Amino acid sequence: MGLRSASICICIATAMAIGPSGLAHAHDPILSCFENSNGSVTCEAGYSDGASASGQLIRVMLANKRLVLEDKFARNSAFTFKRPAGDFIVEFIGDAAHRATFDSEDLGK
Amino acid sequence: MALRISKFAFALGMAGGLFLSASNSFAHFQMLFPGESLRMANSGAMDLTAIFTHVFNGGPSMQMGQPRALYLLKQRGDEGKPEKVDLLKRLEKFDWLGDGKESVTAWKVPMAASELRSLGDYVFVLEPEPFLEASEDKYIQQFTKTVVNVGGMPGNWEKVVGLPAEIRPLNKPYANWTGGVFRGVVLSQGKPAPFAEVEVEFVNRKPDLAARAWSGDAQFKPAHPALGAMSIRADAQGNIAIGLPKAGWWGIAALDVGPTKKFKGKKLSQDAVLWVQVSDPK
Repeated sequence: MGLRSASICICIATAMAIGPSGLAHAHDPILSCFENSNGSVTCEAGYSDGASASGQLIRVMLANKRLVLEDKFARNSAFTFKRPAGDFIVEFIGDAAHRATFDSEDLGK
Repeated sequence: MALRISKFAFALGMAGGLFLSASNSFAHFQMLFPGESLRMANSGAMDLTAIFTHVFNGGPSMQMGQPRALYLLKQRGDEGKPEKVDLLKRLEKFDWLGDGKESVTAWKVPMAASELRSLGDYVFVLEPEPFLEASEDKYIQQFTKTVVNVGGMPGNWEKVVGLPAEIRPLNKPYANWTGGVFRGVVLSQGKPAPFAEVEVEFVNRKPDLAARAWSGDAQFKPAHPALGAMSIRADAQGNIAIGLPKAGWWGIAALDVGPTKKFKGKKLSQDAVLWVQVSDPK
């Protein structure tokens, strides 16, 4: 499976981090992308406890790290964009402690 | 009687002059089999298969009538409500050959990769036509749930569907380590069913859907008949807790917990079935 667990920033410090609400958050960021029939790509993000990624950052970069776009996930925690030519990488940046990446070679069809 | 022992099994045991061995202790299980419950966006197409059989022994299997309902409830994350997708009109009938010595009607729904690539939980629900178990002179109707997850994002795995007989999971049915414990609540019309009779079985032979038959030998043989179909009781609040000693698929069936007790003039057992997949740490 193309689970990009290695690219997910998980550490004990993350699990023990105290969020703004004062509650401990022990969730992992999740990012997954698939290709649509019209050639666009949809990426979905969120957290392993079901929390939303709405309003959080998405970056699309080419394999050479050149930035293609930077935007925010929509209310439904999804974002659709035109597929770049060639291989690319998507980043979901929740905050400094919650990041996940997705490689275009793992795109769902 | 806790175990529904077929005439065949009984005759076999008696003919041999033996008590029923573990391999002859049968419990009916309505399979609703997706292949794998843990999927990713690129996992591809899937056949959802419904077979009514005895999973520990790999048969005998029973004829299935046209199901009354088959649908999917899917949800990504903890926001929003589950989306319902009716699958009934997409059912395809096929002959399940079991161990090669039987041929019974079973059903499947081919699902495209594009239907199963979005993150979240996919709760498949089957409401079968009651089956006449002639050896017991009664009908059995097993309301069955199987939960598939894509990408690790949870959704509606724990939500009550609202079936007449239902097991509400308290653990994700798709995320269980070998050696773990699965918990759930047996419900009758949405309310806990105290001291409900529950059977637990391991799918001891793997279904080969391309061959429409079981593949390979039984993965293990229990040391005693009581270890084939495990029979337990829910507690006073309908709670169950089940150890999971082996990776693979486990079926949990709460017997006769639904409200309707008669069908076509005979006794009806409305059971609740939930499927749990267990993974080895790697």
